[in-house]
Amino acid sequence: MLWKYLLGFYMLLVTAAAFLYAPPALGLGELSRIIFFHVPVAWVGCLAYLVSMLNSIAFLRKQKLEYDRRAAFNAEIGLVFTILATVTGAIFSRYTWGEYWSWEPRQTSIFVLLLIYGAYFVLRSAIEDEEKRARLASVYSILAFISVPFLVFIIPRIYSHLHPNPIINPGKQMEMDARMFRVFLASLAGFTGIYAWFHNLHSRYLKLKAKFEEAEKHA
Amino acid sequence: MRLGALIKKDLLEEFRTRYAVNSLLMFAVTALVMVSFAVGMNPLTGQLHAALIWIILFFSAMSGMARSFIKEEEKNTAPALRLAAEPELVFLGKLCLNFLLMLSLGALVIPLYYILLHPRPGSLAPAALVIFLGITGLVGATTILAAIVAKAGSKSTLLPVLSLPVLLPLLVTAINATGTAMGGGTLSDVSQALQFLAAYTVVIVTASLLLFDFVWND
Amino acid sequence: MHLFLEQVSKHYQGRVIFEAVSGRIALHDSFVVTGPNGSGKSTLLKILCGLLRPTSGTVRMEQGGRELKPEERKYRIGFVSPEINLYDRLTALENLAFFTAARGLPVRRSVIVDLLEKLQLKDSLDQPVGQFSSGMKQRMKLACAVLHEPPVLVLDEPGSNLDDRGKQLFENTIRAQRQKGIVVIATNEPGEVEKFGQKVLHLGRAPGGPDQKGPPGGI
Repeated sequence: MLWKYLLGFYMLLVTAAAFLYAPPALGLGELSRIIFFHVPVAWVGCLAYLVSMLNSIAFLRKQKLEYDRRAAFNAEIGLVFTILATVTGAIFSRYTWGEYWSWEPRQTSIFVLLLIYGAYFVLRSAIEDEEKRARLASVYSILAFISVPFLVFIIPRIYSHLHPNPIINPGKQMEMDARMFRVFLASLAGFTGIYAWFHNLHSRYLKLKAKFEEAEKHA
Repeated sequence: MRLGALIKKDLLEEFRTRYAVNSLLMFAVTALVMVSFAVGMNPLTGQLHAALIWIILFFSAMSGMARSFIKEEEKNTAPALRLAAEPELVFLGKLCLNFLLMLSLGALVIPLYYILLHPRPGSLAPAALVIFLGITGLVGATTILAAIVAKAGSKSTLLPVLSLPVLLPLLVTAINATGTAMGGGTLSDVSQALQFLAAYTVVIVTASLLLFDFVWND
Repeated sequence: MHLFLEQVSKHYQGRVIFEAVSGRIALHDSFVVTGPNGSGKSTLLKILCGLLRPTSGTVRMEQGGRELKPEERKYRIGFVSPEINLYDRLTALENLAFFTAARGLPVRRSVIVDLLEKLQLKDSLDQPVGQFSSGMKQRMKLACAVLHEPPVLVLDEPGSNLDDRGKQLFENTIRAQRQKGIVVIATNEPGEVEKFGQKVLHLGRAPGGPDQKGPPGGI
């Protein structure tokens, strides 16, 4: 219970630091502060999909509905964060390159993630039987996941490259101011914490629901 | 040969109803004519021609392949098939059938496209190779998705929704490479795309074979 | 050869269809499943054939002292059910030839024609199954089920749509099958229960109560 409040306080500090402590990046100006929110949110969007897909694999192996429910709620969390990432990205795009949308590689990737999430939920809503829904959605989630690396490989070769370089280039120098980098890492940790909190809440909710259903059966 | 029997059965059925072939043909021709009217006499670049060709191929493929499993579920012949043949065999049978269907479609649509819209021919061999491999990948990825759709209450409108995210890497590559070839690119210009299409097909078909049992059996 | 049902339960969308059904079927047995509509007769037969997974419990099949894998079991069963159809567009001959070939067995026209003759369908062997009367279709399904000479023949409501002569043909087939293996029949016709019910399993809810747990099925 306590760490929920700690997390809230921590995020408050991170937000304040993002505006007050970190200096604006060269060239981008005040706008650069959006990366403290945009990148972590996009990261959680991807992380949630990964966790969802792993739960789908676990479902197919063990045939326990619990895993499918986990896969579904991770996808729900992921969808929300992916939408946030798309919106913050579009704002950034508007004020640096002049257009909300420019089919730039990373924008395209996040758009595909949105498409996958969308298709996943459309498929789920089309099937009534829980067992069947779990199986088909799991298979789809894995198939969609397989196509992602291909996309990551192909898109930068075709579309023009506008996006700021990855923050940490392996083998190269860090292109970020040390203070910025500290805030960035802190925010990344904070958003991952928020994801963990959501995850925990939903797990507890599912457990309680299962208990109630069990109790109702015996009543 | 068991696989041969499965393909022959579907071909016989198809030959008697001509459902898939007819709907596929009408769809493709309608799309072609619309595109041709819209473009009129305006000259288009190779890239744009490539995009139009693939849009026509994609949507015709969706309308044609959706039936491949839906007809087995709707007519309740699927359980009889389940009791007679292993899932992998059923999958391969449908894969081959869809491949034949889409190849005939390609063999018809592409020449018709050249006649109606007369794009600059560019380099024919590389273009044909890209389109051939592209169709192979398209069929490879869509077959298992068609099976999912058939199990999800046979809502055939679901197929394009499910297919697009999975097919996007393939479509983007195929459009780009077809455009390059139509603009006069040589075989070495599209060789990377060809490798990519082949790798995509191998990976997605392997995954489908591993996962198909979960879709096909209750 | 033995067929075992061990504590087989099936739940569908949170509803209990039947719970903890057990039974043991031996060579030369004819095993009859009865019960009111909705008691899960068809579901039980599908589970027996491996077309449906039970929610809990197992079905096992032993042949020659060896236990068969679940996926092997499927191909050693002939199943006639109102929920399974043959290919309407194909002729009787083509249907049977297809199912023989799909099983990897050699297709011999004379064997198929003999079988069709036995079931009084020889005159229609070049006619599409879609044009058959419902009684002819039912006999055609039986032909398809015994075509590969399975050790286990499973019949769901075999008497439906049949005239007296058709019923006689079914009866002959059932008797012949009992000589070689096992017959499992789901029916509600008292006549059939009496005739074939060497062992009878009654599925059904506890009378007069909303108690959906049902009585434990037994012989």
